[in-house]
Amino acid sequence: MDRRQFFKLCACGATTSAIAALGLMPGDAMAAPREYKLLKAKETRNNCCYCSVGCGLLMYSHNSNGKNAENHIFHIEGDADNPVNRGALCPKGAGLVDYVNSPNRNKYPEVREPGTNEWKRISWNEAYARIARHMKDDRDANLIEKNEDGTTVNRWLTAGMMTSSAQPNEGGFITHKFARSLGLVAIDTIARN
Amino acid sequence: MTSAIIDAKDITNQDDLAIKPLIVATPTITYQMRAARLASLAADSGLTDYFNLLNLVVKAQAKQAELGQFGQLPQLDLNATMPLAHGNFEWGNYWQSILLELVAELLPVVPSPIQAVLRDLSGLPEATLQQYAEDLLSTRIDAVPAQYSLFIWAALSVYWSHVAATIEPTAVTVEHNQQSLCPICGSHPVASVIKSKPREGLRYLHCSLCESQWHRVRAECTNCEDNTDIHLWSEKEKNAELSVESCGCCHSYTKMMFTNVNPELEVVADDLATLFIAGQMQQQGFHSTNVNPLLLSHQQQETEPQ
Repeated sequence: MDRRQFFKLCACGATTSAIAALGLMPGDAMAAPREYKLLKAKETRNNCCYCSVGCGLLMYSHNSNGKNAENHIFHIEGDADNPVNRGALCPKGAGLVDYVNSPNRNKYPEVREPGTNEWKRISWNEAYARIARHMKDDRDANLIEKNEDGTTVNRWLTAGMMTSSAQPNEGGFITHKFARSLGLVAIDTIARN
Repeated sequence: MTSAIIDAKDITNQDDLAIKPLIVATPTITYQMRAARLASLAADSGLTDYFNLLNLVVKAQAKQAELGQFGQLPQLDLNATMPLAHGNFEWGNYWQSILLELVAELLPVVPSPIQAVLRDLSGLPEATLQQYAEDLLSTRIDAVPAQYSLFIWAALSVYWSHVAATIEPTAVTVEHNQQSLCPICGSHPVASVIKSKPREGLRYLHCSLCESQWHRVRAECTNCEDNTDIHLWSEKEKNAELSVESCGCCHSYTKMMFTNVNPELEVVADDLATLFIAGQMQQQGFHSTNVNPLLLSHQQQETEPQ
């Protein structure tokens, strides 16, 4: 914006702004006020998914305006309006933006075979097949169908399941149904780490 | 035998961090802070002469807020949605005596062209002044000669903030969080103020007439309540003291003054000092939904979305 535009802005239709009407428009000798270089960020309200408290967050992201560009989150803060956390965050919550942008995030399934120290990338199909195979073998070998009194209990105590905490009610319901119907007793979410 | 240490209904009253929907006006302090801020911003504002005049006007307002004669308090209907809306109570013409006091205060200290304006203004018939006040309060800003509107609004504001300050915050029903106009007097906000205390980060809108502040949820458009396309524009990614919140849904914007970052920010003075931003936002296709009592420009009325 140049001086002429600033002049126009102050006059605001020339007849009605008090600045112009009182004859106090900036003179030629006066330096133009500085220009603002504004960065644009999208502001989104969300919840922290890393524990069962569910603190409110305000998340700030920007993108390169490219067609396929993903929003890049660069700042996360507590949501003051949220009745639970009232703007505050715990150390885990305060580090959220670093989780999101961590170079160590898991992006695909990997396996470390017994006896090696090397992580090997595998496909999702392979991963599902291996997990299913391990679960089946372990459950067939170790499922406790009846207790000492002969009552049917169907407990599978040799395996546990760590579930996601970043899911809605419906996801939690399905996860629970799936795990309990297998006889799993040890179920937890990453929210309690 | 156990006994209650506190009554159940008092528990929420003990909560210092509870959101107060309304912060009642404190006119004298507000005007004093505003005058000081105007003085410190004057040199870099690009509008030094105007800021110097405003400094004098607001100082006179502060004096009147403290010592002015306001007559008997008007009868207020506190059950009305906006009890101090200009159609909801008899506001009479006490504001005119405040106007004359302001003029008397300013006459010896302003430059001669403005002295002439002030003399003309104080010579206007009572009925004309009353009509001008009615026009300004009904947001027909263009019906009032622009050289008078600043002073008339200043006097009205002193009167309104005096009455608003007498209201108990709990006596008025504030539609929870969701009001784009002042719940006390129905005027437009000046801008958003982000508080540092008692709960840091809450947003309050500041009234352009009665100097009250009311709570408004953040990351939501203050005009249309949409929250799907909210952007913040600022010079820094983090801890900017001033940013602009725009809504892609109704294409409006409001300035956000982060007083938790810079406690010296004063909503009216800093809004005017960053007039430049208005031009940049207009270029991006956004218009202001706010009114600055020290500018009262025609343009904001034309682009009013309501």
